[in-house]
Amino acid sequence: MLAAPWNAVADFSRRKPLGALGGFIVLALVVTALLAPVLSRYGPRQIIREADNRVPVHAPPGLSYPMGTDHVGRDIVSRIVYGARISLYVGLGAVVIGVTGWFIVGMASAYAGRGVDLVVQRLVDAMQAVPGLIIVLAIMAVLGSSLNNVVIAIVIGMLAPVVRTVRSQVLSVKEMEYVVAARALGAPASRIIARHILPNCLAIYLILATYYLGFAIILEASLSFLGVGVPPDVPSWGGMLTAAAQGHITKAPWAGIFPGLAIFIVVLGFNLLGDALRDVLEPRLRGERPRQ
Amino acid sequence: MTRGVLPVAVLLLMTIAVIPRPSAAQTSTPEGQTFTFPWPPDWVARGKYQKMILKGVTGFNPGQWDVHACGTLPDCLMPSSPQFNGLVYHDPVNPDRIVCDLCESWTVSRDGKTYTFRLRQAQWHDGQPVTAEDIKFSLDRIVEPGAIRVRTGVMRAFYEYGAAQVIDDRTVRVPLRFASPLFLENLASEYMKMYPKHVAKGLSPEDAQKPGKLIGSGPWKLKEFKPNISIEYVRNTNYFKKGLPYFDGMSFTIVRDYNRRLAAMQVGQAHTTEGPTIGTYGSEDPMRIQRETKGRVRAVYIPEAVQTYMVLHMNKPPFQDARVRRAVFLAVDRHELTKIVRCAEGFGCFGSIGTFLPNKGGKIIEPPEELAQVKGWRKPKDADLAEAKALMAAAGYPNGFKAMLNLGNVPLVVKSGEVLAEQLRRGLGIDLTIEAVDRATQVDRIMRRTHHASLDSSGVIILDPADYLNQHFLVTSGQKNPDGWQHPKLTELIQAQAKEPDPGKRLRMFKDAVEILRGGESHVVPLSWGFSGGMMDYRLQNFHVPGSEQIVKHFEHVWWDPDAPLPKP
Amino acid sequence: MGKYALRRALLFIPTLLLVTILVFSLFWIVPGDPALAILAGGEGDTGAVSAEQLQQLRQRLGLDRPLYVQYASWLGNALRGDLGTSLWYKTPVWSQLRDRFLVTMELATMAIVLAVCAAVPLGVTSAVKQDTGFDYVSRIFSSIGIALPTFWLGILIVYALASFFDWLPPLGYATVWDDPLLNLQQLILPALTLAFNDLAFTARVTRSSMLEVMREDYLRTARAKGLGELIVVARHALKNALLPVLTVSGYQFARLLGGVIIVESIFVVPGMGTLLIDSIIHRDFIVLQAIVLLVAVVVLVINLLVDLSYGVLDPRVRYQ
Repeated sequence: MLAAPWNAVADFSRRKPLGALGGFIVLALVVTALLAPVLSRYGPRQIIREADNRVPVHAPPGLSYPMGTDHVGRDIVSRIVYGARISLYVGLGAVVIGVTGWFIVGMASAYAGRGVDLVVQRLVDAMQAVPGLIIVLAIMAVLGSSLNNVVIAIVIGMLAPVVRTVRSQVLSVKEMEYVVAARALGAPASRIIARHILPNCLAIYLILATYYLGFAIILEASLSFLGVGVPPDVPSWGGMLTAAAQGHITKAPWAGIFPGLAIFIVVLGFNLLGDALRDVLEPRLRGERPRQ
Repeated sequence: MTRGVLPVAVLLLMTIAVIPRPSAAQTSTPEGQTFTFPWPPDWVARGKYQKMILKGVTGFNPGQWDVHACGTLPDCLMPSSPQFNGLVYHDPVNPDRIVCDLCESWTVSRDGKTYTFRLRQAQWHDGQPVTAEDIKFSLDRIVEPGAIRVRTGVMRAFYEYGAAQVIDDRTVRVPLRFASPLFLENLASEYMKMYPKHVAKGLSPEDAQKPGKLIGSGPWKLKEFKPNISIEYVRNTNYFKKGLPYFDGMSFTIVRDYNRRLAAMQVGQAHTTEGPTIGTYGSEDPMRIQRETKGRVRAVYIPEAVQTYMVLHMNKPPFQDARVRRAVFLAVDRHELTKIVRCAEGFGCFGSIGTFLPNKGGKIIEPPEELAQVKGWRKPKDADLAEAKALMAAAGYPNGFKAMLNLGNVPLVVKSGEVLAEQLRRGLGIDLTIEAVDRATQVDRIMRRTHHASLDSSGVIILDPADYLNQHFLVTSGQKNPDGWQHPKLTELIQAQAKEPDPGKRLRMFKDAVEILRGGESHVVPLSWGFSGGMMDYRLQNFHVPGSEQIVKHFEHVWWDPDAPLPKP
Repeated sequence: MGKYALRRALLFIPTLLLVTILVFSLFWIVPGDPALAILAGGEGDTGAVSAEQLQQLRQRLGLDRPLYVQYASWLGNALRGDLGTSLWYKTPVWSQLRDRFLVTMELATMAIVLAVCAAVPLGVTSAVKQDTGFDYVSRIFSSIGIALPTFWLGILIVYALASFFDWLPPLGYATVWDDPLLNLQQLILPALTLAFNDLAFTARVTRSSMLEVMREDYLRTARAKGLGELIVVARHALKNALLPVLTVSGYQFARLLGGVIIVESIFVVPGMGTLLIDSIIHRDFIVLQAIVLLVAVVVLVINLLVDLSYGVLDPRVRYQ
């Protein structure tokens, strides 16, 4: 019973070592997020007071603080470990709500026919025509800066690309010979969707989800840099990176390097995993087709 | 200059610097006391005119050019000021002293209620002479009823619209509403610029804000403002202060990114920042660049130039309750906060512990040795914290509460917010959610009181404690006192000090005012004082750090000495 | 195809209308307004602004009119080709936007060219040498750009240049006509930063498209005919595999127009990105609307051109 999935994993790792590396990174992220209180010595917002009540501001990496401390004397390791939760929350939130939601919209648009399609496509066009960052900036300004609002802003920013990709994918599946054949044989739409379209689209869903997990983490960091990210004391990697970038980069490089590295490794992990999934699940997947 | 001459020259310069400057001649006449100022001062001859453009970097992208109407230093005063003169101003080489700018001398009547200014022979940029009529027009414009006068509006308290009288072409008499030690201090503010009547009269408020529409008599003419790219000036060759300014022009490149500005100074792409300015350079960064460039870049700082404080909003619980306000006031550990936010290992501190009033212009109201005994400042913190907890319990919040804190996303303010939130969480169980937003949002939220509390910072404009009292406690509604908090005794004191000529008595009034504020029930919780910083090439000579970043904003007096010795570390 | 293009072009109108309404209404829910930005917007410097003064300025700027009136008046002017006067600078918007638009277009073009130049060889070799060490190295390398936030990459570059080389691109912008060398110095770093960010995506598309093409029958035939692998790849595979790359680059170009916001401010490029950030800070919705409108038109046109070129290059695609 256990052997089969294990073999599949082993097989996947042999065929796609980079993908396996990505998977491992993602797994490590999840474990870190779950075990954050165990893995960290200090609270994520805790300003450390040493024995003589001194606050170690910008302490370099060393024995007491493996990655040093930040601009108000917080332990960077602890913040990065707790930050895994934030990253996962933002990433999963954006993907679960965004990719799923827009996925359904994209499928509906492709399948419901002309009227709905036309309206949805105009909305997609409009959203796509405005640089995503502007929309996200405005939304954050309206909603205020909190973790959940970052997720909402990212989700809205994902509308255009996800709906478009899904729609064109569904359209191309719709035209595949066996689907056309099934339709010619008089199979009802619901059955065609369930039997042919959905399984085909599941692959693209998985791939999109993996990429967008990474994308959400990067976007969260950009929002922090533009001053509309999560509250500054929330240990998000993007926020840490921004704080370091805005004036501490020369005096305390470690305050920027470690969160930067965390983002880099995790996003790389998601991307490698996504690439491998893409190779395995959807070998025919190509660049986007033009809309028809 | 050969090697041998250099040390001699340096020695000579140092000797000159030590020689006492000629002080303002003061004469008493039956009408009152007259102050005259010798022109040119000794430093004019020492400066060397250079055929070069002074290159600067600035982080500000201005939009407003009418200093009478405008609201802020970076968006308006900083770029506009070089074109204009005031009637009086802070001596650029001795900035605590007020001297004549467009005037030649002034006379104060015996009762102190009338000032008479004698003008120098000066020209506007279009060649027209500066007349007493222009001065009267400008004074009236500064207090124009019904017009937007964010920074110059304070003058309305002293000067009534239309009151000035033109005696002759070069003499103007200015009667005041009451004798006040603050009139001259306010008149010397960089915002009180003199405009030519024949130009300014025909401009609509909107047109006056456009670059180059208003002209002045100042050392620089605006050559071109390229939005978001640069601000360029050319020398006013016809400047009435003969020999000034010392450059052919100035060019400030607008660089929004802080790191890029630091880097520009570091690699020598600019001679100067826009001068010591609020916020951005208020840390050890300029000093670090000074060390890294081995003194080629000189760090300049204005101590205690900007205050960071918390505003408690009283329109809803929990800060509706005076006990909760006092608890927060007591629980903040200002020593720790200041150390974390304003100090840097190996560099020292670039700020000091927050007090209610600025210790400026030689008026020290809250000396550190006294603060050591005062609740809210004393060390150790335990007694204050115990009292704060008791107040919280009495107010019905023994375990604290959740609240929203609104602040601007300026790094130093954010830092203060992070430390403050952690202190209140640990000390009183108050869980503050920090929302860092851009400036317009932040001010909007303060004024509409959407959050429970806000962090704000405020720069010193006038070197007198009255400035802070006015802004925070006299002007109700608006941004600095959104809840209109008032205390009858305090209001009385604020009004009385403005009319009090005796400095000793005024100081006592300020101390009384502070005593009331230390009850901790007002909307202001002082946190820390910060420096304003900037950077200059060591070859830029004659820049003297002013007491406030809002004064000396024109570079008319600085010169470039290519042979200046590199300062020793 | 002409009919198709016309139909698509007509659809621009509702889309653009939607865009402007979207931006306009979003902007008015954002806290703070132009009057507030003008009187109290100075970073870190607080005046004592009162509610009355704000109200007075709002009235003067016409901000107290109902929202639909403001929108209608804006739209009316825009339709007559007048994009309005900046609330902050008080100068006509178009005079500012024109130069900046060219700067940003130049930057984005440089970035996309650099990205394609690097991504295609990487992607192709990655595909030809699939699942070898080279494939892995090239994929990890091309992923670096996407896995690092752009601002971080930009700041690191500035920091490294200043600290280790004591050199930075000169301040003050020169157009490519005035001084091509200076222009290159100023744009090459931001362009590289953007290109690096774009690299992963374009390389990935090249790779998968190559992989697909190489499985096709005619390539097997070519190989069977005994043609060398290099010729097969260069002559047959590449030509067909580049089609999706072209498509993707078109879309990426549109995406880049948003991405320049951050890079421009770090590298002091006077393009639309910096103007855009400023217009948001200043609540200058007149400028913002103009930028958004301009970008929207460019994006829509590019998308259309990409779609059309796809049809020209690939006869299998039919337009309805």
